Amino acid sequence: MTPLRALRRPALVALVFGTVVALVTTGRADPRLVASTTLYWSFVPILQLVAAVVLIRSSRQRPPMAEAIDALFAANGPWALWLVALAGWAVSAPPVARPMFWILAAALVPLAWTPFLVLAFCRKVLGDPLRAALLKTVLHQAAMLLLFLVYVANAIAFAPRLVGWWER
Amino acid sequence: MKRLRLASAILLVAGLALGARDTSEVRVPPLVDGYRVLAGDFHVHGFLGDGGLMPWDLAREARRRRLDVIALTNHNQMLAANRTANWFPIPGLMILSSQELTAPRYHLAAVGLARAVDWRGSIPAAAAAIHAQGGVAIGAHPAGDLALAFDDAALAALDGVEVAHPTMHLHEDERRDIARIYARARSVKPTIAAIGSSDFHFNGSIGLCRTYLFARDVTPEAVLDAIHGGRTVACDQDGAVYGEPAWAREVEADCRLNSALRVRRPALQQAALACAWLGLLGLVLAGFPEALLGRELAERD
Repeated sequence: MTPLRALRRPALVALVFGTVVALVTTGRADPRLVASTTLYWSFVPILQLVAAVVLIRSSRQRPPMAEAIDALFAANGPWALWLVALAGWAVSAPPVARPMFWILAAALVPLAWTPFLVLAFCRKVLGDPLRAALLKTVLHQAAMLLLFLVYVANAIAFAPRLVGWWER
Repeated sequence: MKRLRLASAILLVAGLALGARDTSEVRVPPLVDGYRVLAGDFHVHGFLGDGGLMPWDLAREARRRRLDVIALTNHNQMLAANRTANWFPIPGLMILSSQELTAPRYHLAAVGLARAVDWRGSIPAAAAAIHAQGGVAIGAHPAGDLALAFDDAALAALDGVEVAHPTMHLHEDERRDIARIYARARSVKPTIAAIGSSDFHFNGSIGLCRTYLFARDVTPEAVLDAIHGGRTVACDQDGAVYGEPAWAREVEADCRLNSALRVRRPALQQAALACAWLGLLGLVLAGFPEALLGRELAERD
């Protein structure tokens, strides 16, 4: 597998993010907007790539990097499907205020499903024994979750909200 | 799998090609009694914050949604507003560098700032800091626990208060809180500006609730002056208006039109959305067959 081919799935993840953001935010399939959102939301697969390289390098077997990256990115399937569902939910009705509880609650499915795929990757592709594979899966998923939480905490100004909750 | 991938890619490209045709009309601000009637949304979140779009994409979308001015109000930071707001300017659309001042007990839309205001302080102190920079202070979604800090002294220090906000269309108790705070604000300060804002992040739409301004000119200074002078009318997603009846009558029809335009989606746009969405779904199924279609991890086409 060529290095360029290994970027096929990261590119798909970027396209999914870009298209979903465009559909959800505007209710339109505008190519200019999709190109733009795909570009700046590609920071997500780029961070995933960095995490993938670290994870793969941690293996004693040292599988070919390109193939291993491609295989690990297969674990993006559940989240990608949830994002597509989110876009479907968003464009299925006029853009007015409506509750998001169920569509957000549905994110629990990919949240629970993805670790099993990463575990399978560690076992089959990296050739890790169960214990090591479990540890790597936990660390990988924790790192991803931490990055997400740091981004969100900064974006929503978590500190004053925390103070507010504490005071109440 | 290759066939599914190809068919999906064609569908997505077809959807995007159809979606490229935009039939929305750009709004020309009318002139009423010597004032230019602008449409604004003063509570919008963008990328590099908890919003989905960069300022240039927000600006294009705002123009399409018949707005003339938006305030980019990320929470307690102005990275996007100060660094990227002018990268790709859209003619006819102003972006005001702003902040959603997110404090433990209240939120303010601080519009027209050069730098972020500190969140550790009372509403009057925050309003004074905003005014010192030439900006205006707007009480943001004063409902639930975030309504408690809006006492008379706080309301007297503000230039405007959100009376139309998407949350009032979701929660009846928040609608009551917002109406109560606005009524009290009017009694404390009769010239307080009625503000309608979308608090746009990802879903809904920018300008869902909006503010009409009677501005002396089409400049950021004139926009801030209109808010400061209380020459505004708020408009909610159902097409209802709030503010001085004389001003409100002038924009009632436009407010109702926006509400109707949102509900009506042209057939071509619907077809474009359906194609793009199905294409994307197909690409995801074909792109991640190990996870979604039960293929072995090492299997290849």
